[in-house]
Amino acid sequence: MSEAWRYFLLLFGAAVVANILLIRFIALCPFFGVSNSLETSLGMSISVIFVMTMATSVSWIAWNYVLEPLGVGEFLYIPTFILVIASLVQFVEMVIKKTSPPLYKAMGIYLPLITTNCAVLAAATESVKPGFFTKLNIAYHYGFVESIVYTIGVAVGFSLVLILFAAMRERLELAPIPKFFRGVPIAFITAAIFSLAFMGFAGMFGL
Amino acid sequence: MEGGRFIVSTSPHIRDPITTRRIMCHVIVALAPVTVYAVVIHGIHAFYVLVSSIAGAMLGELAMQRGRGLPVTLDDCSALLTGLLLALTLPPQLHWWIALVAGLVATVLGKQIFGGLGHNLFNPALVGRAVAFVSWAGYMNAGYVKTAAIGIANTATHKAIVKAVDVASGASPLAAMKIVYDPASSPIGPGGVPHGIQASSYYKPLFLANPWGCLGEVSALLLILGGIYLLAVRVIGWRIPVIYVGTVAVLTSFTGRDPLFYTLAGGLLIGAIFMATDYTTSPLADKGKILYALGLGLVTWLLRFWSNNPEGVMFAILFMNGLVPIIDRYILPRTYGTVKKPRGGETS
Repeated sequence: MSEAWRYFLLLFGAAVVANILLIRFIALCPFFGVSNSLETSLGMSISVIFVMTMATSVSWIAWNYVLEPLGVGEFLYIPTFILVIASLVQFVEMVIKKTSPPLYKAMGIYLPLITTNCAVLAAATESVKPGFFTKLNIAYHYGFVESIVYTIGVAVGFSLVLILFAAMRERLELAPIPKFFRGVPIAFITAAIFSLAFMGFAGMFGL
Repeated sequence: MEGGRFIVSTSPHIRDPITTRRIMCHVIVALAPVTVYAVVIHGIHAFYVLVSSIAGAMLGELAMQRGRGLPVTLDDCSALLTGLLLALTLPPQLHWWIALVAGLVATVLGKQIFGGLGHNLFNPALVGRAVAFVSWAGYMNAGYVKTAAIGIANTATHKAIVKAVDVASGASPLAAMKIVYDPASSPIGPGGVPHGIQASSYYKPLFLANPWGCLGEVSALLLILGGIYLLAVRVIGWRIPVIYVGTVAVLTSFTGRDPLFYTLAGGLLIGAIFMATDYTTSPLADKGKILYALGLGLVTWLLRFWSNNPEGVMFAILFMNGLVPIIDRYILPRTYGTVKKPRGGETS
């Protein structure tokens, strides 16, 4: 398996085959929270890609150079990673507030919500202790580059589905949906059917 | 709004006899030969599948519209068509109750919950099939093989494969070729690879009488004739089916496999002609349609050759249905009555 192909598989597997939203059902809160408008979901996607990549690179360093050498990784990684992610989100929030007030206004509550976005924690955790793609025979410890590629895959998969889903929900706004299914219930049903479509990718390239 | 000798009404004033009912009836007429032929080839059990699937679809529509206090629109034939299309994607020996549940799911979850005709995001028939496929995978896969029908087009090739592969798992031509190219996916391990299988020996049965597939896969010829009929009465456009099938064929030959076999086998033709062209779940603009069809071809090719399943048409269409809202948002059709803006502005 060539190096480039391996990276491609890692990226594709993280983005599509084991899509974080539709196959693993992680981070459903921002998924249903932001997806009612295409504009906010675009902003959310960009900030998630940014935060996730940053969070993973810092978490990877924290795991490999601080937690592992001290032998405390197994029980300290969650507080450490959450601390890292929370401070990063604060930083991104300040930058967006300064550079793009309209985007900041549009994202409103959802930017601080990334702090508790389990997808970010999941990507950071998996890049130091990968649990997926066992068939790929990727080593238990991802290298730094591998963990970044994997995280970008997760974030791109998140963004892709979020944006597609936002477009679908905008179209559903105009449909005469039965009263009790309007809003979030129909969004759940749509997500379930879209998730069925993603199940077709299961086992692709032997992942 | 009658006012004496004149009829006063708001626009539109020019009317055409085309109604939902007429369009649905055209599609049903186009599917009728395949349906009848499927029952001839697969026998009475295929008829049970057909009836229970249509009954499920119509029951779902009736229940939802009654429940919501809306006028019942069973007479526009759209539920009938959904049930018929669903049945044509089901294996002939399937239990009747699975077909019934799939039909119910198709109209209730696939269509009516979204607000009914014209508002669904995904093809209702394929939603029904996907739910059945995921819920009863064993039954769906075991429902292909039978018995009396196999005598009709029994080539030596297929006999060899059926012998080599577990008969109960039902080697459809696509599944057989998948094992030929990817021995690891054989249910009895790499040792059981049949040698000397030629995809070309499948041409004739796939074209004229194919006993190893879903109801709607019995004859590629009848499907193509149905497609030509729909093109002739202008119910579908040529772009989606032609580009979809063409993309699959080109990509297949790039992969070094037999493009004609992969065009005729499986659900590609019925999917491309009758399902991908659904008005509600395909893009509005011509450019969007081309993009949609290219995407369908690409995803089908990816799923057929590299996923766990031998066939990928159903998942490809559902996946691309999910992309339609975003395609429609960025690729808009030209507004009626306006002229395309020349590029550069001043040149005209």
